[in-house]
Amino acid sequence: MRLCPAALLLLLAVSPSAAFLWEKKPDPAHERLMAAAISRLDDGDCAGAVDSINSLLALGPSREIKERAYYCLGKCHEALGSPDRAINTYRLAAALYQENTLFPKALAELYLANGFYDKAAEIYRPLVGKDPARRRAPCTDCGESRPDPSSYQLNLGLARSYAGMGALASAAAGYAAARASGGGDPAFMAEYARCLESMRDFTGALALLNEARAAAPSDTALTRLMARVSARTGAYSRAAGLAEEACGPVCRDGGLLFEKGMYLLMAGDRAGALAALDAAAPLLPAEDQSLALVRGLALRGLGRAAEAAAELETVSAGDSSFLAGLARAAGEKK
Amino acid sequence: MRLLHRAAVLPLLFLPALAAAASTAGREAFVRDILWEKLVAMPAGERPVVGVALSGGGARGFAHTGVLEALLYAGFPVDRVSGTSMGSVIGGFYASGMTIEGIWDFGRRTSELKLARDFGGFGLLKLMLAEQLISPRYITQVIEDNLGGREFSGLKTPFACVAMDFRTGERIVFDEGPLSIAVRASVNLPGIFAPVEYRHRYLVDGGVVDFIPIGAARAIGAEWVLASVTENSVDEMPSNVLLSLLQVIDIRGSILAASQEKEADFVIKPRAGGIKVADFERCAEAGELGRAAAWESMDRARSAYMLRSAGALLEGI
Repeated sequence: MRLCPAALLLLLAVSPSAAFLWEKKPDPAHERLMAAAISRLDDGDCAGAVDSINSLLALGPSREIKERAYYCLGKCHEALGSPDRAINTYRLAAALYQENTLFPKALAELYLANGFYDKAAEIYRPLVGKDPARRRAPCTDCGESRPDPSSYQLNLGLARSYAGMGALASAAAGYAAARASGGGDPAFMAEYARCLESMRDFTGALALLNEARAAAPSDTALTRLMARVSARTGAYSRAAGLAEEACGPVCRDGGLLFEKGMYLLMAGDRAGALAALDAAAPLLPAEDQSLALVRGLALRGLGRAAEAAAELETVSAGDSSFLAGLARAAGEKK
Repeated sequence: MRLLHRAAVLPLLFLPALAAAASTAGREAFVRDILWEKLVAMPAGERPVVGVALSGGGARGFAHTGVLEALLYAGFPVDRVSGTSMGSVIGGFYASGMTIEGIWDFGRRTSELKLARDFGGFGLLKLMLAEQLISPRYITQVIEDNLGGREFSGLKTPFACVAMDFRTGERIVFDEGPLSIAVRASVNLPGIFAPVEYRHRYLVDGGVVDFIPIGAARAIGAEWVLASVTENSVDEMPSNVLLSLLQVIDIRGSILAASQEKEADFVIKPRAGGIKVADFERCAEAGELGRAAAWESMDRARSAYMLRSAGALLEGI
């Protein structure tokens, strides 16, 4: 994995070097070693970069170089797929350089990515501050305030951590704060809406998706999500219509056609459902059990008992206990 | 530290919408979500009646609050509730109509409510020197303040709680009459708190005989029971007689739990075992652990209940 050197430059910029005037000045040789490590990292030679940094650290470089070296080392471990080592590096550095927020941020991101949501939230909380939505960067040109992108990332990280813990109300508050800090692109809005959907705030999710679709009308992912949330409110025909809209005139998305088939089945249009499912079949993996179950239910509803039984038997023998259980129940229910 | 990759829940929430049904697992989750809404829109009776049985566990039992919150978010029907010991307090609060936020608030205020004081101070001195059992003033106060004057028959959700007759060892299930004294009896640790005298019986904590009140939930009509179980996993030597007694009661409860949980249709086990019975300042932490455990297992719980309800669920499709 190639790493963005901009992050390292950023670290250089935020490093409060003035605070370390009493420290020894950076040795040019150490600077060269550091530059070599970054260069190796940029070339994708992470193992080589780790060796360079370890050699550099053994020479006892200045505090400033050491700070950059730790960050670089953490990134190398991440790139090498050693999150344990990256975490240990960031934890050490966060304790040594408490004024530098890049270390706790990197640590929180890593915890989040590895499913340690509670630990991630613990770090994000103080970083976000008490009133995250109001944390905005000054805009010197306009005399007002504008969203602070770093605040957006922190609020989003906190929201995701809460969501992972199942603390959905706190997650929703985090998403709201992230939105106030500049979040608003379709992917963010979809994620926020899915959080509301998870806590069964379907009205809130639909309102958010309506707003997002107005801003990005060609984004089919939003339309698709809206179909799903509509179906969860029982508006199956509307969901089918939205799925159709997301499909467009020539649909090559088997998953979307499958969803449309399910909505139509729930709306009572079994023939329509079967048509959509038949169109989905060649686009999905052979013997897809969800498809077979829904198809079996549609066939059963249409009175095509033998075909339905064949579909449902395939699912009954499949490896998903949930789908198999439903198929068996459907097979027993004539 | 070997880092386990636990990112099992997050993708469910953060899958981009386009990818939601792009995988086999995604399509299965989609089917579950859509059918789930049909099921939970049915009134109890048309679908199997759901009971939630809340175990004992002292402060650790506050984990049930998080479990109830996760059930609420999932739209899980909670048609009946039963509780033992701390489970009866949380269950009583819930059944009486207290909001989940209200129950959380109770958990966050346990220090202020001085619950831990019932296990120490002058009462403990009396217990040790004069062999006089403690009258738990603060727990009683909390129960009276929140449940006093209520009857089982007037509860928002049908509820039952379990106590034990101290003389005979009988398991006593309360599901009618005044609520607060029944809950108070259910949370009455034997050998520490004086037995509650009620209906010609001397009653103590039901956790000794029925740590997970699954039978009590079924007795009030539950056909499918989800149990929230907070077992002990404290691994340390108690520092005094009182703590030793608490630990023995707790261990006994955990042994009972191991055999009782097989009777449940689904079990959620919050990883709150490190919180001791009287660690009331850690109630909120227990609640969070309960929520996390329930959130992690919610899809499996929904699937299990849907399979039990499959006949009704597929009706008309």
